[in-house]
Amino acid sequence: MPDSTRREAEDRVRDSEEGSVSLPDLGDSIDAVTFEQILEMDDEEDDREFSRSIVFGFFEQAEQTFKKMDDALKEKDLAQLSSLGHFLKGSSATLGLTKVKDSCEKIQHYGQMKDEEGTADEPDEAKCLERIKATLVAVKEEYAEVEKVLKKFYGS
Amino acid sequence: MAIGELKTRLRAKFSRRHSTASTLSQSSAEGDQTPATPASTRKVPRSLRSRHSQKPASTFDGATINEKEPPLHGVLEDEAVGPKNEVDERDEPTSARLAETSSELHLQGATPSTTSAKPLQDNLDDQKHDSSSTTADFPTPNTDIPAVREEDEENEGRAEEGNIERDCLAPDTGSNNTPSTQRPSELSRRQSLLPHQQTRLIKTLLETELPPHSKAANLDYFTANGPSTISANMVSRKIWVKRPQQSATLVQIHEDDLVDDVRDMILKKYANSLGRNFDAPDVTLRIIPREQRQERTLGPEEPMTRTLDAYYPGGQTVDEALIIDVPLRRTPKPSPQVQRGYYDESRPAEGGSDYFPPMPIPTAQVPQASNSVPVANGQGQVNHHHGSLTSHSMSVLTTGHVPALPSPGSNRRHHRDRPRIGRTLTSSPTVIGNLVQPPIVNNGTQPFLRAPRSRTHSSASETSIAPPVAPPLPTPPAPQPSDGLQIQRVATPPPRVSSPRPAARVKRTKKANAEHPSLPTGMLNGAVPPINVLIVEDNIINLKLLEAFMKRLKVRWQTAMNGREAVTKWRAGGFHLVLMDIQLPIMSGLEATKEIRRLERVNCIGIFGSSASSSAPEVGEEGNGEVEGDDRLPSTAMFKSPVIIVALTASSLQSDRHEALAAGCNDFLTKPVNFVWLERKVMEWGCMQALIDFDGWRKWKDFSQSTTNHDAEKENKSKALEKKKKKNRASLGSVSQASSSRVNVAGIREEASAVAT
Repeated sequence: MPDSTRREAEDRVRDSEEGSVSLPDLGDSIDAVTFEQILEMDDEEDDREFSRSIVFGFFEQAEQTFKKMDDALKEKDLAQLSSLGHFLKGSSATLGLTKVKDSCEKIQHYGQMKDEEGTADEPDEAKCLERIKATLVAVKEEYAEVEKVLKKFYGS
Repeated sequence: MAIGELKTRLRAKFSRRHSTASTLSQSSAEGDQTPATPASTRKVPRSLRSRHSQKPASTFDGATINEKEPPLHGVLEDEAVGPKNEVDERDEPTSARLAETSSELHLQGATPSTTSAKPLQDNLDDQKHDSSSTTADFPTPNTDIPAVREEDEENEGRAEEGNIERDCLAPDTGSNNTPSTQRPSELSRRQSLLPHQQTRLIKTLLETELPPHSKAANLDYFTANGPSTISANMVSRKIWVKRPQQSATLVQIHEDDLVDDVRDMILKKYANSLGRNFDAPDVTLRIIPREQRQERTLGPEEPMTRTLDAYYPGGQTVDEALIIDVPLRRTPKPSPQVQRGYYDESRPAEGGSDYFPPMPIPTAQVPQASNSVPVANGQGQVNHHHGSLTSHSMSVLTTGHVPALPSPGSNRRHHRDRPRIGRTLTSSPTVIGNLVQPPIVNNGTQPFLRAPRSRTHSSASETSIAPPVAPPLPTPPAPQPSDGLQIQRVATPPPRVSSPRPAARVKRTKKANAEHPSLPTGMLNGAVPPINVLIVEDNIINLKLLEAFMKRLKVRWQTAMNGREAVTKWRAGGFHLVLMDIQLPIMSGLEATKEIRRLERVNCIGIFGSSASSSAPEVGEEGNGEVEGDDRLPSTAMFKSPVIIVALTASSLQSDRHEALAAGCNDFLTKPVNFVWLERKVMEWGCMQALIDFDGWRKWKDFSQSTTNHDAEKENKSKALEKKKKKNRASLGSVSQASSSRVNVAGIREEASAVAT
């Protein structure tokens, strides 16, 4: 835990350095560079139609995925959890939602009965489910955080 | 040229003979009066005039005022060593360097110092050897200069003709100094002006490397002097070095070289195994003394030759080779050595003789370390000429680019405009699984062109090492900037600006030159070749984003949400690039990739026959009947080459990357995809595909432009055969110097098809 807090602090420092002038309040859960390149795709900066559709599409997708994850967790379907983790990892990475992405990757690995990094096998199924449960809670919190920030950014 | 002028010049020459040093500088300073010998008069004044054109010009000057790169070499040599039959050695390369020098001397005015003259002599001597050893193979670069041709003077013929003739016949009209009968009288004088070591050097080199006829011409001259002129100290010598437990090799060093310099030379020698990964300071040298004494690591500041002499009185033997040690940890980034190799890509080997002789190389020029900057500057020009004129046969293999063979009649000036085949700056691993592309990919990934060493004593390295004492020449050599330009151009994608219509295709090699300046603009505009991209991505968010990005790049795209769909869409043909997510439902990206590669294989896509242009017959690729029902692609005409598959994954695992490449992906991008990177990938791969599928590209262009040029298409087809021949020829060299890399790739493709048919 102290390790992760330190990392967060570092992230905060880094983000504050990298954070663009135009987007001061994206917070530390969002990789500014990645997110900005999506914003650059907007034709007009006023309505940000394109990036808005992407971001809100992601909200929808994330909530659906979390629901599916909950279901799969109940059914102890590790493979499905892994697949869902991978799925959400892809889009959250694309949006630069670093923390969400990292947690999703963990879920993916746990679902494959591996350790957090996905390098070593973890034979104990119950342990994996337990870890996924914990990570799912964490990722939902992380998601709620970025959702708040992003909704604020899009003014809704 | 009027007889009177000639007389004047002769008079000037003889009066000036009294003091070589002073005349040397004087002649440089007083450009318009310089004529020293009839053989060189034309060149020298011109060169000086071009630099000092503000000087009052004589009538003679006026006639030649437009000379751009005149050889100054001639006069300096004549002043220094007296006229003789080595007129041929007034080679332009030196002249360029000396022309630089002349301004230097000019500043010094009439108070010349021998120190400044001596290095020049050194240069001359080196150059002398250099040019003479290669004259048989190469027409003098003087023919480069159009201005020379325009001047219809009596020496003109000589400048145009090969050196051989000059060497043997010395057809110097109106001159009294070239015939061999003159030589004895000049003999003693020449000797007095040359350091003994230089004499020995020249003699050695001439004897070993001159073509027979010139050798005969020079031999009597030198043998008259006998062995007495041979000094114990040669200007340069070779020392044995070896890597631990490996065989020893000779490295040529200069008498004055420090261990530090030797390290440089070693890295050049071991350009592949060490030069790629190590810098000179990384290298340490160990010396193992004879009498069981403790071995010792040499400090970089120790004078190499003296150390060796001290340890090995009587000379170093093979068994006493210095041991080269390098640190175990490898330098992560390419060493400057590699970069250097890249910039001097066409740099030939040291010396004219090497392991791959068919493409003769006159010089090997490796820019030296800072201690010999002046030479490197001057030599840069020398090298540029020679290096551009010829290329190593090995370079054909490594670059896929066949260099132009110099022909005596051709105007080789355009060699500066020849684009180098460049390296793309991606660090992504590149795997290409077909037979057509490797040469192209090599262009992208082969940063270093190995320059094989000469086994004989190399004059070129001699030149580069010899004069650390040379006066600094602040002026950078002229060709360098153009070098830089070339490199920039290399990074340029095939231009959209050129809008090649079918009819123009044959002429394109000629046009390419003119098109060049506009190329970088295309890149700056972010223009991407009009390729067709298949985006395979199951996540709608990512898909939307990639679609938007493709839209912005103005390329065509289609999407697939799973691997099965991707294969299905791919089978319709026409895709150049696939952005493939790795983990997909139904069929994973890896499986889809493998399936695509398999289908490509069984349908012989990318094997010579089907990768050919539309003009090539498209029978045969399916004709073997081995392709069974489901695997058979509807129309192989839509598959010019294997599709490029770039794997996309959010995974940070290295194993995933390896898996993707093993499955047949060409490249790899990690999510979140950096759009700059993605654009670069699309550009890189798209350009390559546009090159390979040139016809498809052309059709697209034609379609999009909706040109009215219908006849051109027919004409194109009727000319198909002829075109192919032309292409081949072009890629073999005579025209392709001016052509862009795009043309070269096309040439390769055509060649491949020609081979197949």
